[in-house]
Amino acid sequence: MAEEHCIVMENISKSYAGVEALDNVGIDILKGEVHCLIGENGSGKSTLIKIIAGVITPSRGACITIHGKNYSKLTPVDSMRQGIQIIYQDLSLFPNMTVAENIAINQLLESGKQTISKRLIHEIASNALKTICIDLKLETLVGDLPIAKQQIVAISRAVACGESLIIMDEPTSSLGKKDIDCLFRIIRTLKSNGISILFVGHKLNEIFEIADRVTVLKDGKSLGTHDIHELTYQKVIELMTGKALAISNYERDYPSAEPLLEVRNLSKRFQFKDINFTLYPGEIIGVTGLVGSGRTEMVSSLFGLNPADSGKILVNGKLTPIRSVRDALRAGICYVPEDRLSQGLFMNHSIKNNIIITIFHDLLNRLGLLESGKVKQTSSLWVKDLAIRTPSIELPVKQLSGGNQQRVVIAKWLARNPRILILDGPTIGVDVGAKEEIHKTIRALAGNGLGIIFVSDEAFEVVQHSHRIIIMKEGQVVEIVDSKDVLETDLLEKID
Amino acid sequence: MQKQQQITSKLLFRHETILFIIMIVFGVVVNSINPAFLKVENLFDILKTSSITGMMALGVMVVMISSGMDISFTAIATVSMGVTVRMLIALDKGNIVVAFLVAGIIGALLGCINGFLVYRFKLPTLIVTLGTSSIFHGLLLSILKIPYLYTVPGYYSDFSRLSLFTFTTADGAVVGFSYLTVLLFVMACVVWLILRFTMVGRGIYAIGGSIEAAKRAGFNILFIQLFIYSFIGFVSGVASIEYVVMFRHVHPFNMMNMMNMMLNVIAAVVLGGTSINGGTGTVLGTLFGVWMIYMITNSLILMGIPSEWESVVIGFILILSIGVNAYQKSLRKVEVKIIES
Amino acid sequence: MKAKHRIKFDSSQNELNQSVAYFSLFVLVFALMAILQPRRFLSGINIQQLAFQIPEFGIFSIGMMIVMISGGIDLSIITTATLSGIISSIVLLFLSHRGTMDLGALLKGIMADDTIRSGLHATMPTGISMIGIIVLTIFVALAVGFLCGLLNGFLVAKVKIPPILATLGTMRLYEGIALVITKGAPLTGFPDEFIFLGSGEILGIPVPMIIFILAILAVATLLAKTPLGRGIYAVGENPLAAQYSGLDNSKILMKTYAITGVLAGLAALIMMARVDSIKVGYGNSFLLQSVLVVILGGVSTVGGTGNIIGVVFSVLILRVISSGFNIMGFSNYMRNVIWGSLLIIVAIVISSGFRFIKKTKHIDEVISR
Repeated sequence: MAEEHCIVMENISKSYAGVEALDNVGIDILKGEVHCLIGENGSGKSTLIKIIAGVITPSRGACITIHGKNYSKLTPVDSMRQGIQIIYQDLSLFPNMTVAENIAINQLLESGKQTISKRLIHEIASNALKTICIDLKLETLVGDLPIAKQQIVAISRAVACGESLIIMDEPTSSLGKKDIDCLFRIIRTLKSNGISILFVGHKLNEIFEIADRVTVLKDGKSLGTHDIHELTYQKVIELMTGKALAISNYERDYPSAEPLLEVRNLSKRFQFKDINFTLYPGEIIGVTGLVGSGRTEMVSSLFGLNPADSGKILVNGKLTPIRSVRDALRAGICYVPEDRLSQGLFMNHSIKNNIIITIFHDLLNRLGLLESGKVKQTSSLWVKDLAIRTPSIELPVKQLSGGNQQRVVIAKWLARNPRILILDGPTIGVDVGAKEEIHKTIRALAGNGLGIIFVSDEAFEVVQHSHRIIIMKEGQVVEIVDSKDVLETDLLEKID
Repeated sequence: MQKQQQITSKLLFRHETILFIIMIVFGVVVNSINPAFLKVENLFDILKTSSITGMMALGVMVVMISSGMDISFTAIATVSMGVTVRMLIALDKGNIVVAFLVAGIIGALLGCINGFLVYRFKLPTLIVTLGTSSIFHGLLLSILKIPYLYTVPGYYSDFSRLSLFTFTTADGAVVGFSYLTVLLFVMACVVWLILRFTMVGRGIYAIGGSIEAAKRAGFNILFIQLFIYSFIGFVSGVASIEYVVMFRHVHPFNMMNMMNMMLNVIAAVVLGGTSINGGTGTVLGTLFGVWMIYMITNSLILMGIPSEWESVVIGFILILSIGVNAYQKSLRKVEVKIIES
Repeated sequence: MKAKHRIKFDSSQNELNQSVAYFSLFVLVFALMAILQPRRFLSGINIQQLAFQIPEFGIFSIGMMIVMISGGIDLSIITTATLSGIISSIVLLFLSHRGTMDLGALLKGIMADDTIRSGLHATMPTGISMIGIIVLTIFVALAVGFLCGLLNGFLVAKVKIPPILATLGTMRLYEGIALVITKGAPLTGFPDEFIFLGSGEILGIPVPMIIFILAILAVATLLAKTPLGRGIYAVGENPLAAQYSGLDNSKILMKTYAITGVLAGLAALIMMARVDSIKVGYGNSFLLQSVLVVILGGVSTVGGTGNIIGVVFSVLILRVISSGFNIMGFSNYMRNVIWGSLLIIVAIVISSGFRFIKKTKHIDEVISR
């Protein structure tokens, strides 16, 4: 197998309003290889794949060679003609159409046919499924399938177009372990058929399992392409974060007091089973595990969004049944959801109105009306306390940056003066700098005596910023470890 | 075993099947009260009177599948009716086929305006069509100054008497299968073919499922939107001539003023199982929905219930059927969740 | 320099600017009409006519505004008004025309059976004063509106039917009930004391206008100053986030629709009292117009944002334009054309405005540069 290139890109730069999203990046993908593109959020991964897809035009001087043909920029049509297909994170499927139709639709569009027949659709679909050795019922509606199966449909659709390069944007982010194994099996099949895969991700264990070569991006710059055998976990983390791994973990006094929250044998059918742990004031507990491990389900049950079937929750030593969000709020438990755009914020509303949404009853005057003085005072206070950078509390939240938005969500809950704060993936989608500030905020809060439950799938983050770590797998607690005694690599192994 | 269960339950719970069963049960019950109900002449009459609503319902269904909403179709119908009839009288020529074609084309052109606005400015379809409906109707009345016409050329009424076939019933009445019904069936077949066997049809469903995904897949969104809205314009134009055929007058208010007409059409489509959120809907279901509504109105008359009750009954049935649908959907979501985990 | 220009985001400032804009547009339109047709537009009769016409449409519009802010729509708002108008006028006629023959003729359709009618008359309380009767009528109208609204709210919040469909169904339902009661005939012959609500004046100000102003103040306070008001905005903007914030979404929605129903009942009272009759079909043209005015008033088509000042001024502007056109001899229909065009243009401007905001960089990046 000669070193045949599928695509070579050189001198790729792109800037938005003076900010360099990509700075002179180069990448080359061989035929039939699995090439991983890794980097933290905001490192330029998505800009790069959008350039390959032709959605974004690179700055001048770019040189792209696909199958020996040179381009200075690509259009979506060029890209598709050259057999490049992207599987977006949201999969871009039609939930109201059948599996067969979803798989066949791109090829039918490309062929320019105006009429279709069911037979043709089925033929295309079953051929594509055969290529990746998967059996799916062709007549099922895609909307009725679980997410892992939907992903298979999306892959089959790419395969049906006879692609030479398939780009997968964080394909594992919403899959469980079994589904990931299945996905990897498919990727290997594709590889043996000579199709190249550009796998975009950030979970190291997966990359070491599947990749042939790895390109690391950091802050819009390429840190080179490495053969997977040259790399180790430590090396990759060093490259990605730019820090040596021997970073001092957050030193703190071990909290000692009455337990704040005790969870005893908490269970919910099909979701999680026999969860036991204790949270002390001033403690940060990290919860980690793969998607599907039950971590989000478990913490959302503590907030009453997804009440548990059985088990006990004790707050301050008192038995506190939590059946609804109101019960949780009354017990002083607050929850910062994972998807803050859709679950945490009112984007068109002002910062002020976002912050006071949880504390109306404290701001009423004798007539039962909101007192504007108090409203302003309270919200300004939180804006100052959490260092939210804004010219005014009247600014709509959608005009803030990711980190500041996250802080508005936190402010909204802190305003309630909670005793227990649950943070579900607080740093997802936040750039590196803002991440650190959020970590600082979390530490400061714990310093003030709050109990914090911190859910994250980034093992590195969990180890650094929590006292103890609950490792979950398939709905159960595998182990609760002290973060001082654990290395990130060990943690990753335990998660799987 | 589970698979088999799923398949049978799917067939059993298909919206069309349920509607069909309800229609049969309803028919039998009403018939036991007044045996005139299930007589062929009455059924043919229901088919004929429902053909205008049915025609428009096909258009509304297509719009709703693409997760849009069009409330300008009655205005479009009024405009194409007025302009077509006047124009053909002024030219002193024409026949029924030309009338249908001209009205259809005028309707399609007006619909194109909707389609363009929806595509170009990405506005909510309800707002666009709310605006254009008042523009179209206002222009008709203020600039074109279409008056009432109480006599129309003979070819309209001739067409209304035309039947595909006729036969004489036992009691001596001559019953005919109206060409208006034939026209509806032909149009229904055309829509079915388009939705089922063409890329445009798939595109309509695709837009209704996820417009973003449709764009990424490479559908020509502009073309599809233009097609959708000019199609509903076209059928509205055709329906407007059917109105002239049936009632033998042109009235710039009657079709428009019939807010109830518009709501009846939308109600029929929804009753027929088309989701207001787009993505689903079938021709058969829509026809069943239309007939259901006309069966109810017809049976109220036959059972001697005052016509004022019509609105109550239709409103009630509409709420009930949508309510059951919404409830089923929420149940199904729970089911899927359990399967996933 | 550019950055400085962009940082004008103080939303209370924004709201103020918006109100000023609407107000100046109103003044402009008013002045334009006054200049074009000084004698007839500014005549006392015309101004007075305006003052009597605006309130019922205005109240429908603010009712529509509330549900649209919550992310819904209420197509049944007019038939809710019809139904509550008809039920309350039956109460009113029944009590005020005690014993007279008139009532029999009026309500022929309702109580065809003479024995029932006379029986009812026999049990009629006799000691109720006219004030009492009117208060009772008002109460009945508002209560019927409340119940109709509550049913809408129930269908939307609990059964989870899309608002447009739920209210489409109830629209037919309420209209049908009203038809069944009256058989389509108008009810008329209200006592003068009641007519005062629709055509009387206090200190030279028409009573309907006073009611309208009170309704505006009440709704403005509700939206801006109460937890329920903030909840309506929150549910309209992002129902999921509202739920995660511990709000009871379905309770808020039920209340929202109920309030709109009450406003519809209020509009019905004014309508009845102004024209001294009520009939199925009255006010039907207000339905689409009220949606139009709400959107012209700057309420987001998907809910969550908008305020009452914009909507009230839109009502005023449109009424002034249409009265001016009327005087100038523009056909009624030309007005439809202008309104439709206005709606689409405003919607385009608003949506492209949003696109502009999306394109601007995050505010803190602007500051840091």
